[in-house]
Formats: sequence, structure tokens, C-alpha cells
Amino acid sequence: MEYLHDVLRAGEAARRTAVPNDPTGTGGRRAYEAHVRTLRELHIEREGWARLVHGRLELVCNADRSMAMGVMVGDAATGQASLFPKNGRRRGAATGQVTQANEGEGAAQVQTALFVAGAGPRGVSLSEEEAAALKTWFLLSYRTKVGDAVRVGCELSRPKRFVDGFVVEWGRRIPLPALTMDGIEPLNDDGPGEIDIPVDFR
Amino acid sequence: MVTPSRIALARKRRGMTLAQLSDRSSISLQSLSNYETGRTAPRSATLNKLASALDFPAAFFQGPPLEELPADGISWRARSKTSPRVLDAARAAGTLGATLYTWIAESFRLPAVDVPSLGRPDPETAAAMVRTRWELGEAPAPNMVHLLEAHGVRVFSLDPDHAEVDAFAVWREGVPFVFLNTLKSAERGRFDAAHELGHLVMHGSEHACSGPEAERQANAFASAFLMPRASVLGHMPSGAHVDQIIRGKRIWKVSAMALTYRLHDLSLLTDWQYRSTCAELSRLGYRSAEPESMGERETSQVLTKVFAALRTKGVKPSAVAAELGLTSEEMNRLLFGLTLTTVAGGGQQTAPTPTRHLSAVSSPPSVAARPPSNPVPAFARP
Repeated sequence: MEYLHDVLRAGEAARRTAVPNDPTGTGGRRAYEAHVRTLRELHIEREGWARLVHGRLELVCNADRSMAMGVMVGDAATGQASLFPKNGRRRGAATGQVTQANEGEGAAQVQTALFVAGAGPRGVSLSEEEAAALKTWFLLSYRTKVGDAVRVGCELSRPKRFVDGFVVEWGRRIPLPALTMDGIEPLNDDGPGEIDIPVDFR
Repeated sequence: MVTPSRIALARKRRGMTLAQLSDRSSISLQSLSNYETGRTAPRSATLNKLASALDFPAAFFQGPPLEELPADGISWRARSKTSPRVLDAARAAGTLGATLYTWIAESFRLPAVDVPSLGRPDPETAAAMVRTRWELGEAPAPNMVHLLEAHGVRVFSLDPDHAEVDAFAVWREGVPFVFLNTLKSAERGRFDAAHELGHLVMHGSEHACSGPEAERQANAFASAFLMPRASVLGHMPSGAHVDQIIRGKRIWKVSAMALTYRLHDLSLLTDWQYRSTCAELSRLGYRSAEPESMGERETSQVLTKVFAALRTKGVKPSAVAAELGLTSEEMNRLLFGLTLTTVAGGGQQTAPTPTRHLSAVSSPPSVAARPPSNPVPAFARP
């Protein structure tokens, strides 16, 4: 969980590098990029995992290639065990395919083989059998901002059913404590006053 | 009568070796050596050649011996590879600054020295003790130059040509002196001033004032003095992001890097957060500069008031320089960026964001009306 909060924090740091003159959506894109990169870096460095581009999903997978992890933007229910979260934006076929694999429904159509040559150091590609057996989890996050303070609700969840671009059922959910980042307490007074030093002729 | 030590001082001030001075003045090495040791004295024509080569008025060499700033007691804030000759030049400039202050103190009532010598405590405690003594509480520190001056510290500018020296401080006969490089950002100037205060407080005459450990202590003192623990904990969130640090630094008027260091020091940033914050600040240019700076550098109140008061009596800075046997330019370098600087055409202007060219003075130095052996200026005599 410590890693996952670091991942979200890195995303928040990256989001904040966007300035008003950046194109609309830059902050969100940078957050996504930082989420993927940090999730991979921390697992590669500390757990011996490997980078995996599976279909069009940017993932990191464990050494025996049985489990992979990616990131997903959730909704307001994210992190709350009593509620049912959905992905905030419509997702493509690749998410549907790993969801099918999560349920043992095969994933013959996932084109991992295309990426064999491009996997590079620390990267892997999966055989058809491995792809069919892969269990893919997502770090779901949902960010809210009140004043200068930020709260990121989060959970690690495995999709079970995927319909029309949205996850409609989860096989397993691990709600995580929300990551909260406080704001600055601004200085309320005018700051330190002027010092007047008497300098007179003797 | 020529004072041998003044020849050596002027040579050091110009950062010259005896051989270089010999080349420049066409005076033999042996003669120069004899003049500096006092074995022989230069004749009038030779003295003029010497004065010209060293760019000091001839009258300077005829003043009484000057008490140099003690070499041992100086805490240098300078790059580690700074050559001894540059440090000697800065120290010689410091000696001239101390001479100017002696002159000022004879005419003006200046704040009494109230800088404790604490020695023993750790920097965090020492900073808290000085804050308590100066009744600052936990509030952000006011103008650091004014604060030092109000407590009797004599603040001068370092020669702008010695960019590799950031600052130095020294006690001389119970009077603390601080010399600041006024070309750096306003925030770094404040940190330098607090750093030197740390040396004055913790590394008086009886404690080592140089070396990595003394530097670390002075940095820790400056950090704690400018950013008191309770104040930082009260204003800054745990795990502050770069944008928050850039906003937060305005509370204490410190650099973004200094606040980041303090946040890590107070465990408000983890090691990992600290490293990534430093990397991002570097990317934004905060390691070598201060992009969103507080603006104007802090300047000297005492020197500004002294020269303003002198003007009301019709005494120009050039006359003060002449009285001390200095060129106007030499004196301007001591005041550079801290107060009014005379410029070409006899006008004057403040130098809030100093750049090197402002130190140039084209008006020729006045001839010394009398040697500085009688340092009480005419207007101040009863």
C-alpha cells in the first residue's frame, strides 16, 4: 500500500506541473503518465516485476507472469467498500480482454506477441497461455480538491465484468485509505513589521 | 610618512602578488619587499607610481596603521576552491569596511552590540535563543540586514567582483562585522545573513569557525532562524508539493530549496519526496536561481541613513572616501547594493537589483584634504 500511495503522490506532483497555458487536460495526462511510470518503477526496483504492454494496456507484471497491475481513474465511490465504483471514462477493448482473462474466459485475441521485439530490458511479453491466465488488477483513484487540500480515494481492484466500456462488476476489491494532502495555512497578518534604527549625529 | 602595512593591505586588496605589483609599477621586487617590511620607505615619486599601480590615492599610504580583520576568526561562506588570494582580497576589503565604520561611529550614535556568543548549544537551540533574546517569537524574520544592524552588527557589501565569496563574518574587538555578496537573489541574501549570524553566535573567538562542520552548523542555524519549527509546522502540509513550496517560501522569504531542506529536516517530506522535490525544483531552475523571487534585495538602513544625514550637512560620499584615503569607487564597493551608489555625473541612485555595471564610478576621486590621521570630520567637531 505504501507503494500505491507513492504512485498517487507522484501523479499529484506531476499534475501540479501543468500551468494555465498548457493545453486543456495536461494535468490529467501528466498524472496518468506519472501513475504508470511510478507504479512500474517501484515494482521493478523493489519487487523484481517487469514492464508489460498488453494489448494497449500499460501494465507491470510479476516475475512469474501470473499477475499484472495497471491504473484507472474511478469515480466518487472509489475506495468506499459499501459503494460500487465505475471507471470514470469509457475504456477500450483491451480492458475487456483482460477482464475476460481474469474470469478464465481466455484471451486469445490479445496481441502481446506484437510487442515481443519492443519489450526491451525490464520488459516482458506473454505467450498466449500466459495471457489467458493473467490476473490483472487496477489501482483506481478518484481525486477531489477542496480549497488547497486534495483527497485521493483509492482501491486496488480486479474487474470481473466489462460492458460497453465500463466495469460493471468487480471480482475482488481492496479499498485503500484515501491519500489526503493538506493545503498551506497562509499567513494571516501582514508579516513582520519594519524595524526603525535610530541613527543620529553624536 | 608611509605606513608599510598599508602597502601590503592595498596590494592584497587588489589580489596582487609582489611580482605582479613589481611588473605593474616598474618598481623592483626587492624595493617593494623593503617597503612592505618597513626596511626602507618609498620616495614621493615612487609612492605615486605605487599608488597608481594599486589604484589607491597616495594619501592612503600615509595614514596610521590599520588594524586588519583577524585572519583566524573569519568564517568564509565561499566555494571550497576559492584561492587564498581572493580571500585575502576580500579580507582586505573588510579591513577597509571596518575603517569606514570606525569613522562613522565617531560621528554617529549606532545601535549597541547585542549578539550573544552561545558556543555550546546545537544550532536549532541557538537560533531559538537568539530569537527569544531579540523578541521575534515564532514569526517570520523581518528584513535580515535591518535586524542585524539593529543589534549592532556592521553590515557591508562584498566586492561585486568576488562572486565566488558569498559572505563572511568576523568579530573584531567585540564588534561583529558581516560582509554580504549583494549580487545574489534576495532570498539567498537573507539566508547568507542568517548563516553569518550563526557563525557570530556559535563560532566566536573560542570556537572553530571554518570547515565543513562549522558550515553545516551555520546552515542549520540559518534554516532554524528563518524558518522556526513551530511556524513551518503550522503553515506547511506534510508532503508539500512543489507548487505549495513555491507559495510557502513567501511566508518566510526564503529560497524554495531552503524551504524544501527545512521540510525534510522537520520530517514533513520523506526522503523519497525530498529527492523528487529537489529534482523538480532543479528542473524549474531553482537550484541555481530563484525564478519567483521576492524581488528587491534587503538593503542597509544604517548606511543609507548615515549618508543621507551627511548629505544634509553637505558632505558627499566622495568626501568621506577622500577623508579615509580611499577612492570613491573603493568605498562604493563596500556599499554596493546596500545603499545609495554614486554614479557617473555626480547623481545618485539606489541599487535594488544590483548588477555589476552599477559599481562603476567615472568621477575622479577627490584628493584627500587631509590624511585620515585625524578621523573626526570637520562637521562633527564641536
